[in-house]
Amino acid sequence: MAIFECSGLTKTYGAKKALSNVNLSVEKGRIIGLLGPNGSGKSTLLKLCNGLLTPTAGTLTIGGSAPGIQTKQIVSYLPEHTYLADWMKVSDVLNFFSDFYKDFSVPKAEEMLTNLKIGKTEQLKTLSKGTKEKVQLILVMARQAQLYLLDEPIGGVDPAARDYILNTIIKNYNPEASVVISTHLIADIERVLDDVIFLKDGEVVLTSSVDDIREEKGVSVDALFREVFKC
Amino acid sequence: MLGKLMKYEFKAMGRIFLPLFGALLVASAINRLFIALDFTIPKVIGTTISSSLIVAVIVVALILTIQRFYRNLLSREGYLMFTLPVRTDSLVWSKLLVAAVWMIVSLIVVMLAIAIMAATGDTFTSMMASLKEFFRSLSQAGFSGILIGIECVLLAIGGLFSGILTLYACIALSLFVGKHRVGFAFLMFIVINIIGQTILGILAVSVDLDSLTALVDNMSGFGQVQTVLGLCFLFELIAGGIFYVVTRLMLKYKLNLE
Repeated sequence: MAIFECSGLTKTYGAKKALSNVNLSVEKGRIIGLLGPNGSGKSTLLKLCNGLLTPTAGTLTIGGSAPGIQTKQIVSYLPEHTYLADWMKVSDVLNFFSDFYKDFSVPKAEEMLTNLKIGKTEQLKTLSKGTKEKVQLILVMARQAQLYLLDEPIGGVDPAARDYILNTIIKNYNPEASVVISTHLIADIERVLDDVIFLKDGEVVLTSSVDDIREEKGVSVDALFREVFKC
Repeated sequence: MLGKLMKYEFKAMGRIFLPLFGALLVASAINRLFIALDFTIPKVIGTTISSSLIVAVIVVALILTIQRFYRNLLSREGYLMFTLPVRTDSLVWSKLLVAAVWMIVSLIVVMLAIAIMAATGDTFTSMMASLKEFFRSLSQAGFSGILIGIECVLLAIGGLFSGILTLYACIALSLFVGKHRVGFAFLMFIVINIIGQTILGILAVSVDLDSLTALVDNMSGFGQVQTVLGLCFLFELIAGGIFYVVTRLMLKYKLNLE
């Protein structure tokens, strides 16, 4: 059964089309790369999934429901921006998440914080941008969600942390859950992906499993991306 | 979930308010000492500091009300708040209720600070005496003092709520523009006030004066007061309701976080 489905999904900002007639279906238990250059509509699609934007046309369901309280309980979303209030301590945000999300595991989050050497008593204001991004990713991955939507999860962190984060993603999601990772840093994440979706100018230009790309086209996802999006 | 949202909202505003309240009350107490000992220069300095702190409390109450709504919902923090499994109504109500409580507490603290600086035993006795006198003359004129008192409190709270909702609606309307949202919200505030005044003006002109006079003449003094208070409350209710709906519609259909 599909955890996420959309049909005819369109979003326009004034005259500008951010997404145009997008039809997608994401199965349970897959790690999907949502790939496309800047401005291709990746963030818009993820915002629509989270009810942060209202579609101009078309439908979108997660676990059978339109975005709302029900879907927010089962979706764990990492936006591309840092969204935590600066005055809070790391321990405050842990409490905040466990207050609002039933599926949030404090021990799991604490373990990841320890591994990345981030103190619980530290104030977010004092953390670097990269460390803040790590804290957010920890919060998002410490939930037992059914769908993880990660917008540029590795954009702002160093390559060593990148590896840890990708391993965290693979290790932490349960086999029933799906993970959608939006990025243009394909080479780094290619090894963890099951499927890919290519977005170009708000339209889906390719959906395929990574194995099919390698077998049928005989190239890596990174090479195919460079070919499809050649400037 | 409303309770949990309010808990964090109290905390977020309290970390600014509580130290400020503390500073104001301490400054007032010290100033009281200077006044009692009649130290001229410290007295002047103390009074200046205390009055500046009073102004600060009022300004901060207003700015924080605006800033909590704007920053926590419409800026980056909105990504967190709008993806929580809570109703958008709960988000707005948590902000509204907590802001109103802090404004009322601010008012009480300011009055307390003034009392600390200026009050003597006589002040309270004479204040109670005037209150008693006020209620006595009310009941002599055929009014229930308690009823009028309750109505005035309701009117004040209604005014507070519709006032805060006006600010929220202006900020929410700024979602129509991508840039310069603060400036646009300010512009909306002016526009809404002009519209409000115009509506009141039109109502005032379109009323048939003769029948209104006849109506008022037929009422007792009590009835007249009740009608005026009732109409004011109704006006607050309608204005507050409109601003709430505007805010909700904007957050539903026009939300577009940066």
